[in-house]
Amino acid sequence: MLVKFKVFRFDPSVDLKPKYELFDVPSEKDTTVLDGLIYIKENLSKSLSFRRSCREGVCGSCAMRINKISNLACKTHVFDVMNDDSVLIEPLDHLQVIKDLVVNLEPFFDGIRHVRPWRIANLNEENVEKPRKIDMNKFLKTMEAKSCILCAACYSDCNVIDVDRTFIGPAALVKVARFVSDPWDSKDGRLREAIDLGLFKCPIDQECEIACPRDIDIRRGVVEWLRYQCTKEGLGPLPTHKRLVQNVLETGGVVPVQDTPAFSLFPEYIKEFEGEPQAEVILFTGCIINRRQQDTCRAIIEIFQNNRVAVHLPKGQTCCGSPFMRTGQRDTMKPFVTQNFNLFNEFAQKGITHVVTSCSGCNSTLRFDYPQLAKEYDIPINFEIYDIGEYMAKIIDLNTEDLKETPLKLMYHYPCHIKASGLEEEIYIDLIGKIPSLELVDSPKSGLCCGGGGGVRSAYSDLSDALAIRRIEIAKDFGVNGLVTNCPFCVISFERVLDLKKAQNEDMGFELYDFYRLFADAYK
Amino acid sequence: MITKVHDVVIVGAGLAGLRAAEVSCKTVDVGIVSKVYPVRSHTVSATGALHISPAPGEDPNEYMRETIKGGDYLNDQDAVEVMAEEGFPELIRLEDMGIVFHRTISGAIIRSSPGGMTTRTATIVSSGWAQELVCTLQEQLYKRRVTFYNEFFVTSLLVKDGICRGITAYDIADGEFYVIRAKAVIIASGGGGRVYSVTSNSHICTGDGTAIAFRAGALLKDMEFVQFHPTVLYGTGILISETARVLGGYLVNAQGERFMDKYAPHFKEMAPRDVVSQGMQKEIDEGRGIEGKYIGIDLRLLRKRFRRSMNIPMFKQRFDAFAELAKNFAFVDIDKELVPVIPGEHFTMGGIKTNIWGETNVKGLFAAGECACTGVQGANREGANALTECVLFGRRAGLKAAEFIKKAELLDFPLESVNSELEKINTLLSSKGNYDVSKIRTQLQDTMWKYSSLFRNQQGLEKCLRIVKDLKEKFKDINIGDSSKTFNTALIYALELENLLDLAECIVLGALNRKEHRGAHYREDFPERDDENWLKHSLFTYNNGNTPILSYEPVIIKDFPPKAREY
Ligand SMILES: Cc1cc2nc3c(=O)[nH]c(=O)nc-3n(C[C@H](O)[C@H](O)[C@H](O)COP(=O)(O)OP(=O)(O)OC[C@H]3O[C@@H](n4cnc5c(N)ncnc54)[C@H](O)[C@@H]3O)c2cc1C
Ligand code: SF4
Ligand code: SF4
Ligand code: FES
Repeated sequence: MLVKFKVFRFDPSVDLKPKYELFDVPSEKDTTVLDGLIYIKENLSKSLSFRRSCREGVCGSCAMRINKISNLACKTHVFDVMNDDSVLIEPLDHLQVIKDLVVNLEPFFDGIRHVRPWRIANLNEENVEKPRKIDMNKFLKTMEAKSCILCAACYSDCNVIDVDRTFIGPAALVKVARFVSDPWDSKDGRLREAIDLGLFKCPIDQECEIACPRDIDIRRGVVEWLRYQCTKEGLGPLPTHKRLVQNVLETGGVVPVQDTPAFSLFPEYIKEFEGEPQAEVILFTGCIINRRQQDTCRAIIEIFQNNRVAVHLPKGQTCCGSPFMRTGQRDTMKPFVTQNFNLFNEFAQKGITHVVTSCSGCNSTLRFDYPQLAKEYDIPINFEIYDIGEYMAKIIDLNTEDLKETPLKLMYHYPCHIKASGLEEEIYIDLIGKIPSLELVDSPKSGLCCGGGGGVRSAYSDLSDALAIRRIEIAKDFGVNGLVTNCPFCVISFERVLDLKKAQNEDMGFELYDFYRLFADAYK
Repeated sequence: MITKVHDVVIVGAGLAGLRAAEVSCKTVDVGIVSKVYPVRSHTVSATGALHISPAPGEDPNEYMRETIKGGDYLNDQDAVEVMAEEGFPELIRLEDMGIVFHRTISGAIIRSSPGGMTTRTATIVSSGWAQELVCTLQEQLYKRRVTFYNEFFVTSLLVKDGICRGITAYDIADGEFYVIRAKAVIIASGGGGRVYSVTSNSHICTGDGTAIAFRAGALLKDMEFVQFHPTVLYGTGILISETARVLGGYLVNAQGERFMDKYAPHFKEMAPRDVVSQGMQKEIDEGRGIEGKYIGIDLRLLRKRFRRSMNIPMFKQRFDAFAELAKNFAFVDIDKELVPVIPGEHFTMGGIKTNIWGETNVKGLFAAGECACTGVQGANREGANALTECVLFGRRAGLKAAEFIKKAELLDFPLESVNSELEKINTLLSSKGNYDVSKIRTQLQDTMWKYSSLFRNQQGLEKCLRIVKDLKEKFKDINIGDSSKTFNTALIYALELENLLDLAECIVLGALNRKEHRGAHYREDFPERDDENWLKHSLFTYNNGNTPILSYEPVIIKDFPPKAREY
């Protein structure tokens, strides 16, 4: 079949501005985007420039943006990415275009050079008369980092680089991890340098991971791991991040209490409907909803009541500790894991095994970090953890009959922590789509960072604001009334900049909708 | 035009070029020129197995005997000795630089034996890709501040009175023309697999440096010896590494028959590459190919058989590497289906004639890596010997060049040559001829595949030579279709085609004259090895664009005289 390639064209030596050219490319199941470009070059436009070398996904030459996401053209099959028989091909972002799909990679490689990508000291002092014995397990992290092919796809899709060019970028951090983890190198100054180059600027939205053709675990395996090394070396976390832990230890939550906390507003067991519940859950609210977004907590309870789900709201729950995991304070986690998981285990003994979380950050922490920690602390896990949206969509029979018309045109903002929990965007799009007369516009697949994650808001609030504003502007281009999202961090980030702009008399004319409140209102 | 000066200029930033730069830049000023960023060089796609000679105290003879037998006794044995002696110290040096090699659970180096060998000599780079080698060496150069000329296309060598004085290069990004003067030039520009339509090589493997050196008066050697690897994916030519067979994968034809028994009763699939490839091609030619076209490699039981090893991350990574390639590029699940493979061009055994220090017949000109022919690979390269050749002979060339320049002077360069290069580029940029670069290239590749690949004969080769000559004529009348000076890849493809045509002519000429079967060179009309007449190297001299002049020289034989070759 013929697929339309919409290709970015620009030769700065002759063109005033870039343009897009359309080409019909005969494609079959095994046609890659690179095959398509070669076809264009040989048959339709000899002047088209792009890089390629290995054509098997290992040299990194052919990284480009394919339908707005950076990827290797030789590894991407046309049929897998086309939308309505067409594919949009653009050069990598954040690097200057030399011609067409070719960008200037020097700034990218400068970043790599900058982190001194060589052993500062060779700590191996064994004699070399015989092959050395080494324990490969000690090199696992080094080896993972070594699989980076320097393709710059991550650099192109990095949200922070988009608003702050002083950030060194994901690939350079991968390189830092390669050397910091190397048992034969001295860490000498590397971590300090990484902090200066922006290690704590990353809101761990992991868009770089989606781009990475080597599937490097950049967020957990590199950024969070490096932050943890900083803590172990006494260089991190940043002072504001240390204070967060202090807050929790002193007050029981990361954020200060605003108004009466939800735990005081609602009883420990809520079942307001008649008859047998279809399910019984333990609601884990997280600090923000308990202390600052009590309306959201109310909305969640209402949703469950409308769905005949009985809710336990145990007051013994405590902060999940996500901000500490994100900022390298893994070693402070024990009390949180112990308290929360013991509590859930107690419920499990009574036969109540479903824990639902309303905060995406809590969800990914309880689901991915806790099990590892629990293993270390010897805590059993006799329950299951769900995100509320996931629970509504997959576990219970959702009451859609009572949903009222809500005439709004919105875009769903897919929180990075939901993504990190392995939950697909479609789950939420389908759910919201159940609300009558609500129009949901497709969101672009990149540029989605609210700026609120990874401890960035507390440490670099300007950066965080810039990211939130950028996300709103991307959405506004689609002519929607607002964003709807199911993460309290995202909510805070967006509401904060909307208020800020209002205060500066630059009202953005845009609303932020909390998923739970929107849904609960639709039941009224 | 911009002029630069270095003590040593290296053409090529693959494994051989980087290795040469790393060692020479410690004492002299080095510029390294590459048409792609170093980490995009072809070496990165290599599987990452390199032969490491025995540690001190162990016996090197078995390795040498097998390499030489594998090379069908065309190997220059002084070069093979280098490989047998210098591998181990090099392993330690590479490890110190930051490369990690596979270890067993107890921490010992893992070694395996590639095809045609029983000695366990091949050591695998931990990440399972030679990418790690290139990346690490590039970083060593970052540390030392070598001047990189990335994305510069070298168009010619400046040679006058038999002495090399530098190079000319074209900056691809902005079309600026450079003269880079140097007291010594090392060519490390890789192989020329793209002469053929079916090849495991990267798009950029167009043998530029070999052709450029040839035109500048360097002798080429053994060009008719081209390796065809048994298992490249049918359709794309992407390599399924020998590891697949080392682990026990085997080949079957359309009848489901494990046919290698017929061709190599003892070694079967693990015979040297020439033997396996020729066996496979026979099966296909005689109508026993699957769907008439390809052979299946059966890997279905491997994952189960190595169930326990899968817990070892490096093992799993290596295994997954070809599982992933098969899935991505042939849409097959290796655990459930046969993988469709055919033999495909893989390695250029011939190249710029050098001695074991990388010296060519042109003073001040050195060569190393796949573009060079030290004679180490003979008529058929054994697995894992190429990367070793790159590091050992790259290092030697680097050392020798650094030593050479101490006594050499920076000489004037021939301005006429510079002008004619400039003119060539301008002519191409404004070309308005009748022929299309990609069409000529495709025709060349198809022709070479048809007449000059696994099985060759007089008639076919004569026809092939005529077509190649005809294409060379057509090349003079091309239209590249892009006159821009900004990242003009149409121009680069044209310059590459010029080089491919020169190499092809040498390959065919050598094959036409060599009337025997030796290693990868198989003449259907002369199917036996003929030591009496042909135990000698072919040498090619440039002849102003006319048919190259062919001559011969003896093979350096030391401890391993020719014997019958059975597997
Ligand atoms: C798929 C595959 C797997 C392989 N696996 C193995 C293996 O496991 N073990 C093994 O031993 N061997 C293996 N080989 C063979 C081995 O990879 C090559 O022989 C080796 O990498 C060649 O390295 P090189 O440095 O000589 O050249 P290359 O890596 O090809 O580098 C050539 C350099 O020259 C530059 N260059 C070329 N022309 C120009 C020009 N005109 N101007 C400027 N610069 C130029 C290029 O930019 C590049 O930097 C494999 C080969 C293939 C195809
Ligand atoms: S997680 Fe986001 S901000 Fe951090 S490096 Fe990746 S893309 Fe950039
Ligand atoms: S981390 Fe991944 S995306 Fe980034 S340069 Fe390396 S391989 Fe490419
Ligand atoms: S061409 Fe090498 S990664 Fe695509």
